[in-house]
Amino acid sequence: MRSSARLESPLDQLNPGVHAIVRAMRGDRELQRRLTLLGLVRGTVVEVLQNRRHGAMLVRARDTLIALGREEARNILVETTA
Amino acid sequence: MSAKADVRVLTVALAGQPNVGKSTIFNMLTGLSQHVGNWPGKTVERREGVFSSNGALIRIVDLPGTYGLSATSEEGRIARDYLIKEPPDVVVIVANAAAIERNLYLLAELLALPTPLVLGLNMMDVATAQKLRIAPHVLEAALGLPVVPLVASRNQGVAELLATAVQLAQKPETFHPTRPEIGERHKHILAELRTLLNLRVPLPYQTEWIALKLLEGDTEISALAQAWLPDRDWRRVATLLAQHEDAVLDVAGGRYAWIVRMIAAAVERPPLGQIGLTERIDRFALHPVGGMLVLLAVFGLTFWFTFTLGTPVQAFLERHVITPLQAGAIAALAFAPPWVGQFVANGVLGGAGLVITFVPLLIFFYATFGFLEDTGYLARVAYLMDRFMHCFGLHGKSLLPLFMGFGCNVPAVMGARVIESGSGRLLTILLAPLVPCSARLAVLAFLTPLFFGRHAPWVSAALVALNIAVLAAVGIVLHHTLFRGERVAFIMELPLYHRPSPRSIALFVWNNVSAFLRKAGTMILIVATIVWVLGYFPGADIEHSYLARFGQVVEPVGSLLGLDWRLTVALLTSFVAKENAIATLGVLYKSSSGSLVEALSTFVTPASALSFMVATMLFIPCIATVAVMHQETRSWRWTCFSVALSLVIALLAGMAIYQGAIWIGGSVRHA
Repeated sequence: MRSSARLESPLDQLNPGVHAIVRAMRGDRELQRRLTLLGLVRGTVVEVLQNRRHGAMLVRARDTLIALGREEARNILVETTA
Repeated sequence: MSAKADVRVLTVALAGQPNVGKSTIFNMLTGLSQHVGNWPGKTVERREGVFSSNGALIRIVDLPGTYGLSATSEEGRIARDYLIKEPPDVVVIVANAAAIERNLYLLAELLALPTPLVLGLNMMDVATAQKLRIAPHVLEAALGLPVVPLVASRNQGVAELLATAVQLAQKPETFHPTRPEIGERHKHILAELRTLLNLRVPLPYQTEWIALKLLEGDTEISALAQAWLPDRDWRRVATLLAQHEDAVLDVAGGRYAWIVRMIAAAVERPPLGQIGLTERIDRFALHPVGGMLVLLAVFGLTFWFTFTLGTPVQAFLERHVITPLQAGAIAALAFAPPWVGQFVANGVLGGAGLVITFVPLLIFFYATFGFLEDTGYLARVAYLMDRFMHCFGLHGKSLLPLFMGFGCNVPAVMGARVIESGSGRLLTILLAPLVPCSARLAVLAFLTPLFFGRHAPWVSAALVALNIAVLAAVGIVLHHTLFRGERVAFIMELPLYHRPSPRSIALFVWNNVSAFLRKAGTMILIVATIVWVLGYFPGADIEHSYLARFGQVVEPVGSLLGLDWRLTVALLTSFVAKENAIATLGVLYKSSSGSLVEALSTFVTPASALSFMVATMLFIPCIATVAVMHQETRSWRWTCFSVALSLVIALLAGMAIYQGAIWIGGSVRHA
């Protein structure tokens, strides 16, 4: 557990091209529910396609392109895999 | 449902997530026999159609596209209310085969309800292009329900899908699907909830489903359960739910885990590194610099296309339809007192003409918009512009209704429905009237050459830019004052690019143009007629009419902007419909001298002209927009707020421009 806690970071900190696994979600339940509807739950593999450090970012999960606002992305904690 | 022995109507509900080609299938099945209405008490469209196939009467109900059955979205609430309260004989769920994992989430939710299901796997061609190999019969065996592969855009498999659905509807007892189960961690809590709910859940709800939705933290179902349960039991439920707040993620996670198991044997994925068409286009379309250039080019082309094609048609209608009709009316009514012929020709037909001549512009604009929407590009615009829209406390999605406003503000206000949060929607509605609509752009195109001659192009550009700047400024101010602290989550699927279907574009155009005709058209016609009456009576000429008297009363206000009573009246009548400004000027100035062109250049100074144009561009929304604003916000307070706001802005801006121009003119001395 200790090692995974060290590797967890908010999704908005990731660079394009990085693959990661969703480990936890913060924020209110409504936000979490909307994220789950687009396929983002604990264990989902996410690939960062665009992240310009400002404005929305673009990720791919379960063959779906998802545009995410920065605030929303910050609430998704992920563990990078590659 | 209706179940007479001989003519039994089978009801088939069509469900699916957004962007799966569901409406294509619906259109194919129902053809022209479709009926469009609204879901009771909702602003979401309800489409259904009845037809017969192989001797069976079939009613197809198109459920709104929704990612799941939670209370998060209005679409989700409508779909589940319908499925529970008026259960159809069978549900056909359409899924995008190229994103099968996410698409089956809705299936996992639907399986918690008892209605038999058929799965239509659409876009098999796209999946194949992405090297995704799917074996429908293997999936069918795993799920225990019929699976039909489709390429709806090429009409492949649609007939089979319908036949399969009808077959299942006639033998519902054969439906024994595999159903997802909840994860071990929450199994006992679900059981406890069930016990607490036992015998208290009224039909048509089912205890199992209610327990599941409670566990998911569904606010609507919580409210229902609270009403059904005695206080003591409800407190137990509430405590239990509070202890397991994380269950939302767990329940959803369980569904995805189930989906992954179900498709494991049926779907073969390509090795990593496949680059599809969408990704290749997005390298340009979403490029930080290139993407913005593409976007500007697309916007520019939209307007170029709209006005290049729309304006000649508009002129043609004016010359060859409206004018002859007016002449005909006067000739036909020659026996009656002259005002009768004038009333019909200039009042009624003049008003109708205003409405009709705008239809071509709207058709071309919405055809372009529908085309962009249908290809999947517009979702990219929302993404690209998200950062910009954040300055107003809005997110990228709000840009789409605002963009629609360039056609007509009425559909823009209605289009704000796509925004999930109430405050974001309201703010979008308040900003929509500041988008210069095609009517205002037409006024601009007509008057600037008269007023400014060869300077017209850059004056027009500056006026449009001013409008956008005011929109941005109002957005920023409202965001930091009345809407402070409001924030909307931006989460949006970018669909795959695909070839647009002429049929859905046509439908999109029809929906928007008919909304304009119904909402704006009648309103414009009525008020235009009233204004004509006020300008015609009590007789003699327009300079002594009620309208002129009113204009003379408010002239002191107008004079601050450098407007004489005629310009003031023209501005006021633009409240009816923006294009009225031209017609009114025509009537008022023609009576005082020869042509409108001569009159305007003689009587109106450049400073007044500029102030008039600025005020017209920013003036209160037209009557139709105001009516729709009230309909959508259901609040007179916000509607009046918007009217007052634009009135103040228009007057202040006009005044600033006029006084500024006088001041500059005083030091430069104009020719």
